Amino acid sequence: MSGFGALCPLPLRLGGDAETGLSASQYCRIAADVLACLQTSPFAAFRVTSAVMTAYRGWNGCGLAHAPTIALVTGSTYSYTWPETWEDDAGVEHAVNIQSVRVTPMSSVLVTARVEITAPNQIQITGAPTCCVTVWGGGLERTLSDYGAYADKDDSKTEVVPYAWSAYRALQDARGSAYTQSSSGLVHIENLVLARGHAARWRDGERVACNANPATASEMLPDWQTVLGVAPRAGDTTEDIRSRCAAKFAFTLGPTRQVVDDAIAALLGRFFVKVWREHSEDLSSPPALTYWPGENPGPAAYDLGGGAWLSERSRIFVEVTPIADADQVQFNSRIDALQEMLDLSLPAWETWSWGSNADGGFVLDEDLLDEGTMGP
Amino acid sequence: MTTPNGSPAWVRANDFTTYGGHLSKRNYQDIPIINPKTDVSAEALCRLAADLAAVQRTAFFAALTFSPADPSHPSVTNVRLMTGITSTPYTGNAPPTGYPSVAYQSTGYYIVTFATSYADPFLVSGALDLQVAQASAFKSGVSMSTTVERINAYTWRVRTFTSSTAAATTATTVHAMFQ
Repeated sequence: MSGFGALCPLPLRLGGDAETGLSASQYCRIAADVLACLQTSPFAAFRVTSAVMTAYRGWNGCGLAHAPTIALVTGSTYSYTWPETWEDDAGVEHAVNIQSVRVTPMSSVLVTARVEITAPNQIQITGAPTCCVTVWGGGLERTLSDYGAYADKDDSKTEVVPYAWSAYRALQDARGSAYTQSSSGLVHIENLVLARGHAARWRDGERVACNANPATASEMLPDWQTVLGVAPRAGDTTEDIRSRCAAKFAFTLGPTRQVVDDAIAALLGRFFVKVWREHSEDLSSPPALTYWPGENPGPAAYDLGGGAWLSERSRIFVEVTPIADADQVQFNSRIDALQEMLDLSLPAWETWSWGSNADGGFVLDEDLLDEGTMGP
Repeated sequence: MTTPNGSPAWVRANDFTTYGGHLSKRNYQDIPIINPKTDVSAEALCRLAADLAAVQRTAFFAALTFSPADPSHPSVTNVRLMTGITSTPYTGNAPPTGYPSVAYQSTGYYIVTFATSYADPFLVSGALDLQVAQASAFKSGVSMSTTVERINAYTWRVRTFTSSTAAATTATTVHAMFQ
């Protein structure tokens, strides 16, 4: 759907064609690339000549007015001090938290510079009063969800044609040929205003419907979280909470095979590969480790009282993608949620495990052997 | 054809309004988003716009690597510009169109020259005004130091030295970045 213009005010509804719209995949690419650039982008770069600031560019602005204060510490050591916080264009304050500095002296002969980070908002440079300085650490910690970008972002399937446009055309038709259909003037303005009002009501209805499902809830998400008993975790994004609520809600239909598979896929998102059921449904061919008293007694060591009862049949294996270190936090959070969800939702006689290969078994070690499993 | 707002990123003149940000940006009638899976709220757009405005102010315009061949012109082996990337080596004094020259002056002394302006993919031109440069040099078994000097908005000197003797020295590889 077209996301722009008078007939489609914000919020932006993703979709539409290349000329008039912005697809979900395009928007997610924009968000991902901005995040990537942000993570390596310097906070500031400046040039000093004889300890006098001559050029400054920073996240906080371009020009000498935004530059740090220079002060002589001792000898050839100068300090460069920013305010403790800086304000972005949207008026939000962030703490200056310098993490890395690069200095190259400006000279026709060899000059050696030494640089030290002496405070989150201060550096000291010794030996090079004329130099170029690049600083990293502006305090912007972002995730994709800050930009409204999610792994399951999709093009709108409902407002494919802007509601306001449909209403506008309907009004023109209803008014008939006695009213001008020019796209300017009083009639046009009245039609536009009425159309946007109708569209707002249609959007209201759609919003109510979306909030009635935790998978698409926004305003009601905290209520769904309470109703479904989804506990918050440190570092949760809105996407994390929504996926956990959706997965738990799906189990209200009962732990059928489809529900289990869909819930696991929804919860794990991009980390999900497949749900394996290791044994067939042929009851006449029981799996190897199947024991029950009298019929097929098991080893005494397996007996918890009354004889050993064991079956591998009701077991699922969740295959996940191998993860990069950068994804460790989110991955661990999803796996924690998976364990909680399956523990509460699966019948007591069904067991499960997860790993990054399809051999089944159990994960031995996270640090050294990644998420590969070791089978029996 | 649509012409994008504002100036190319290397002009450093854009603010968040260029990217659609506004201090009073809001969803129509202040109604929240309808479907978080398909919609982008005014708040998210403003956050994206503000962060992009910050990033474009300090992003490096160029990062390049060259292998000196004193007294000949060096071989430029990798160039990454906001306007393009090449890993095809070229002789420093004969750059392909759109890429900087790196000219030998004397032992360990080179001049990097860019064009005075560049155009973005929408053919919007912007003057180049490089204010900051960083450089480093490598030579096996030798501790190297570098200095830079700004000649003008698009031209810089890069010099390499042996740290212990302060003598101008030909490095094996030089890396330089320009903002």
